[in-house]
Amino acid sequence: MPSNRPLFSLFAIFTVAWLLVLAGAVVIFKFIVPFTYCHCFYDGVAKGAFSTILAVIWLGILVAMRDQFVRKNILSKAQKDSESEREISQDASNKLG
Amino acid sequence: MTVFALLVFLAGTASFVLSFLICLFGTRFLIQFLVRRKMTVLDYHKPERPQIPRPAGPAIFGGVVAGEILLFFFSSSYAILALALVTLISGIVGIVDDLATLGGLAKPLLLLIGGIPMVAIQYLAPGASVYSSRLYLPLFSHPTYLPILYPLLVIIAIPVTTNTINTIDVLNGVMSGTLLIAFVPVTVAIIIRIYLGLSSIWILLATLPLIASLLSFYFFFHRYPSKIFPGDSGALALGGAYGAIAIIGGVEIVAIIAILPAILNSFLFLSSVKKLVEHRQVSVQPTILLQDSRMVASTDRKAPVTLVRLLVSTGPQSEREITRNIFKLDAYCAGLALTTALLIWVIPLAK
Repeated sequence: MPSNRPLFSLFAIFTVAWLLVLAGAVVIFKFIVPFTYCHCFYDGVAKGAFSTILAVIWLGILVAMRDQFVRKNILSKAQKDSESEREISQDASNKLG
Repeated sequence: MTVFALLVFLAGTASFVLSFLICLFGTRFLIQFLVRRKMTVLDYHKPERPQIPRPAGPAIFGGVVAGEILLFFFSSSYAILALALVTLISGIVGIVDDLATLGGLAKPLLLLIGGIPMVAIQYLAPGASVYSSRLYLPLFSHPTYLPILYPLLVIIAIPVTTNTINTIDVLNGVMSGTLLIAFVPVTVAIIIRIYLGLSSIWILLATLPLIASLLSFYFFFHRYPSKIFPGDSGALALGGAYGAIAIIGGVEIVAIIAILPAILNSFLFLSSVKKLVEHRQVSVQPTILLQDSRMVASTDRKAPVTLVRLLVSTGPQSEREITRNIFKLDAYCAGLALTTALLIWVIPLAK
């Protein structure tokens, strides 16, 4: 029977993603986009740059969570499996020896 | 009962029944037709490896488009006409992809055409209110007016939603089931907006052909074990229709939250392979299929990260178990989307 651990971790990731979407939407569309410093080209460039920086930070948080999940649940498990396999083969060779 | 209420009831019932029946009988016909033509694919996740016909897309979007056009004749709402056109264009791009397999970049570029009818009708048809260019945000009672940015977002939204829904079509019933669950908060949000006088009853009715086609397709054909696969034509058409409903209903943020599992699946995949590629072009598979047809996460560092790989990370699971777990995530996100709807339209007004 598989454990429910990944499901609970995914609920946590989805909650964080939800908060990021809401916070990101409010910051970008309520504060960055309507703010007008001057009616010129640089105004649009600045808005685009700020929004991109925010989006990159937000995506960085999600990538970090993804990597943590993969390291904790998939790669560490693979490492443990290979270590236990090595121990079993060591035991077998000791017995034979 | 007033004449208008009777008209609304008649239009809603007729469009729902028409879409349901076209999808039901159209898919039945397609199963026989595709099997005769040997247009079938292997269902890898079953022990007996059956051949399953594909695609069911023409029946799905045929049902949706027919229902929407019927509603357009009742309502004369250009928003509904735009929705029908978006669905049709996305479905046609999907058929091309089913028959000729478009590249990872060509498909989103072609799907950009899908968003054009909405913007074009908004500007060309007098009095057409396809969208309002106003974005309602959580905890703020006044929307942000985006006259230049919003049309650009409309055009980008269609390829994004279509591809997102397409990437979640991984196991039997997942894509149609996910959309059915996502429609619960979207419909509730539209009802709240109608109550507040921000939307029209016809927009609520416009969800009916889509829900009817989804119900018919999911319960009769797509749920485990699938009798037919939707193919790219089915997934892209439904994704396009979902995106269009979110825009014409003014429930963009709620709709995004409701399909968060599909969005995260797409994001996880793209951020791990780091380029726009088709799933079939990936050399290392994210999961390994065991002898008993259960799936387990690949431990290869080069394997792409997907929602299914994360779900089976602690032990092998059957297709049915994984599907059930994805639906649990969908239901959780539907709850988050409902909370978002309250934060956008109910709480700011109560303050």
